Formats: sequence, C-alpha cells, structure tokens
Amino acid sequence: MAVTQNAGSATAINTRKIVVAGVLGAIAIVLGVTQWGFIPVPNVSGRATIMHVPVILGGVLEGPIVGMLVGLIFGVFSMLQDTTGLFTNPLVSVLPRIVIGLTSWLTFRSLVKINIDLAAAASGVVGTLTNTILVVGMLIVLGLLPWAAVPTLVPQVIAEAIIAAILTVVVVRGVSLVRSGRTTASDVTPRDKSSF
Amino acid sequence: MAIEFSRDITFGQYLDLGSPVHRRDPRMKILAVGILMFATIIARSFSAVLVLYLCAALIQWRSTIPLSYTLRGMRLLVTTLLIIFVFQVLFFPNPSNALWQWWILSISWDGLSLGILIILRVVLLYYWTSTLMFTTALMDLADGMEIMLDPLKRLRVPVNEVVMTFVIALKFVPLLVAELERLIKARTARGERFDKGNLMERGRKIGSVLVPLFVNALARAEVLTTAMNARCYRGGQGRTKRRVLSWRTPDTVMLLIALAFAVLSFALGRMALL
Repeated sequence: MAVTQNAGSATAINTRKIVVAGVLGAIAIVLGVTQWGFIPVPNVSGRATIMHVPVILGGVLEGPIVGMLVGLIFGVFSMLQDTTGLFTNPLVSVLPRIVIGLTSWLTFRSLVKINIDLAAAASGVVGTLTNTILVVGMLIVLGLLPWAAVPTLVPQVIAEAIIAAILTVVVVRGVSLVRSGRTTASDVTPRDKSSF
Repeated sequence: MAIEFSRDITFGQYLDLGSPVHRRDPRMKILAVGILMFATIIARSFSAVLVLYLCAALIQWRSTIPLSYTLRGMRLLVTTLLIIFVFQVLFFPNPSNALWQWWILSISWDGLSLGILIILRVVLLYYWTSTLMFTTALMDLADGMEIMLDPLKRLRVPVNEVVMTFVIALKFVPLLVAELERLIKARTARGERFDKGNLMERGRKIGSVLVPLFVNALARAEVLTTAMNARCYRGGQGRTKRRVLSWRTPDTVMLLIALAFAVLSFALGRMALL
C-alpha cells in the first residue's frame, strides 16, 4: 500500500478525519507547551520552530481538510499562547496556518508521482515558507513589523525549512513503513521500487 | 534541556473543585475570558494592567485553585519570557533616558518598563486561558463553544466537527506529553544528546523522536475512529445533548463584574496616555 490519501473524497469530512486532525493538532500543542518544538537560532526571535510540522504532515498524509483543521488548531493555540503581542490578531496567527495545510498538500500531491521523498521534502519546505511568508507578510501589511526586520528572519527561515524538510521525509517514511505492514525495510529491492 | 515535562504541563487540565467559578455557565466564562483577553491586549499602561491583575486575583480566590498549581504551568514559559524581555530592553528604539548605550543596543528606563509591561501582559493572557480550562470541563467548553458559534452553521461551516476536533486535540495533549517524555528518555538513555550537533544532525535526532510519536498517535487515532463509528457518531446533525446549559442570574452578575474590570482598565489606560 502506498502512502494513503485516505478513502473517500479529498474534501468530504468524516469521523476519521476529525480524529486524525485532533491528534495531529494535539502534537502541535504538545511541541508548543513543552517548548520542545523550538531550536535556538541566533536572531530576534531567538528560535526556529517545528510546531508547523504537524500541519504539513496533516496535509501530506491525510489531505487538505485534515491539514487545514490542524492548521486551525495550531493557529488558535499560538493566538492564545502569544508571548510577543504580535499574534493576538487572528489574521496573523490563524489564517496563514490554515493555508499551510493546503499548500503542503498541493505540493505533495503534485510531486508524489515522481518520488515520495522528494515530494515530502518539498512540501516541508513549501509549508514552512507558506507559514513564514504569510505571517510576516500579514505583520508588515498590518504595520506591526518594519521591512527592515525581514533580513534578520532569513537564518530562521532557512533553519526551519531544512528541519521541516528532514522531519517531513522521516515521518512520512516512518508512517508509510508502518502502514505498509512491514516492520523492516527490504534488503534487496532498491528504495524507489519498494512499496513505501 | 528539560525532560520532566508531565509534572509541569497543566495546559488544558480540568480541576474539579466545584467552586462558584466552576459552577458558572461555560458560555459566560468564554465571553468573560474573551472580554478580559481583549482588555489585556489593549492595555498599554501599568495601571490598566494592574486593574486586570486585581480581577485575576478575585477569580483566583473564588475558584479555589491552588496558586502553586496555576504558577506551575507557567514554569516552562520563564525562558521565553526572559528572551523576550532581553530583546525588548536591548532593541528599544531611540531611548530618551538611556543608562547604557552601544551601537543599536541600549538599556533604558523606557525599555525596562516596556519589557516588564509586556511580561505582565503575557502572564495575564496565559492566566485567562489556563484558568478557563482549569474551571470548565472540556465537554461543557465544547457545548458552550458550539452554541456560541451557531451562527456560522448558516455559512455551512461544520461547527460541531470543528469543535469536536478541538476537544480531541485537548484530550490528547496530556497523553502525548507523557508519550513524548517517554520517547525522549528512551533516546537519552541510549546516549542521545538533543542539545548538541548542527542543524542536520538535530533534525535527524528530533526525527528519531517524532517518528514514533506520530506513528503511535496515528494508531491511537485509528482506534478512536473505530470507537466513535461503533457508537454511530456522525457529526452534529440531529445530535442531542445530555446536559442542557442554563443561564442564571449569577452568570449575568459575574459577566458584568468582568466587564466592569475591563472597562475600568480601558479607562485608566486612556487617562494614563492623556
């Protein structure tokens, strides 16, 4: 079994999607509350985040509805747990995060035919860029952040994109390995030919 | 790096203490928290924030939640708060009364007071949401949210489904915190250092914890889906409630008190600015 875009149409909502979105949203919250989802980076915010990775994975593994629901949870959580005063506006904190689920799903779906690892890595990068560009863009549009602050964010964005790409690849591999029912990778067939 | 999370993570827990605050209608509590959060966000002076702290003290007293429990959840915030404070102080633009200055960095009274104000507001914002969840059972919160978001159903937004997703997420938080802690301990016991290495290595190390976390979480999701389907869950349509919410006089009174604090804070903030 290849990585499942699960049964039923991509846009219909069902019990399974609700539950999976809830669980992935919980992971995003857990990464936030334990502060485990942050990696120190030398710039203004001082840290790169991986909290958006569950949103990307929601989009990649389960389709746009789950991705958007996880994004909604992540967004609302970051709004409620705001420590900078910048994210109290839902246009900054919630809306961009919903879009992450959509763009990472689109990226994955369009590239998965070529190579699954490539697709996963690309959706990690695209998801991260969606997050950063939309959030920072919103902040600039609303006048909460000056243009001059943008260059200081570059190292953070690069770090986040790299880590998100790695994590998306390893988790997609791991999940599809388990879903394929095998517990170990095959020794004989090349990776590209294997079922996951 | 902290490994012992589960003792300190109080996010989303419900403490069944049966206090006057616990007994109030969830809709009232959501509304009141909304008002107080808005007041906190727009509070720009010490007096305005102080009034809201008085309100918080009143709620803390009436809710009978131990103060130590409330503070425990904030322990993990301390590092973040310190980083924000340092940056707020050092990068304060054009300080008029600088104590120390070098290039664009400075320490000034303006910067210090702004830093303290921001920290006070962050703690307060954190307090409102965490107290709402300490004092309100998750299902009550969900029912309250669903009723309040009812108008969105006309726009064909699946309100019940979205609220259910949030409920599941909050229910899973303590479970997954314990699981994450277990996984990290298992890796650490095998000699992994999560605070070492360059970006690629760190990504790989975090991946080694996230893969089992995701795989286990998704497996739990399958089980829960089966359980819900077996009980014929099919969204909000035609669903009835076992407990019906009722709005009483004390709810109105409490909401008005919260509103009064918010207005007073707003007024004081305005006076301070003039």
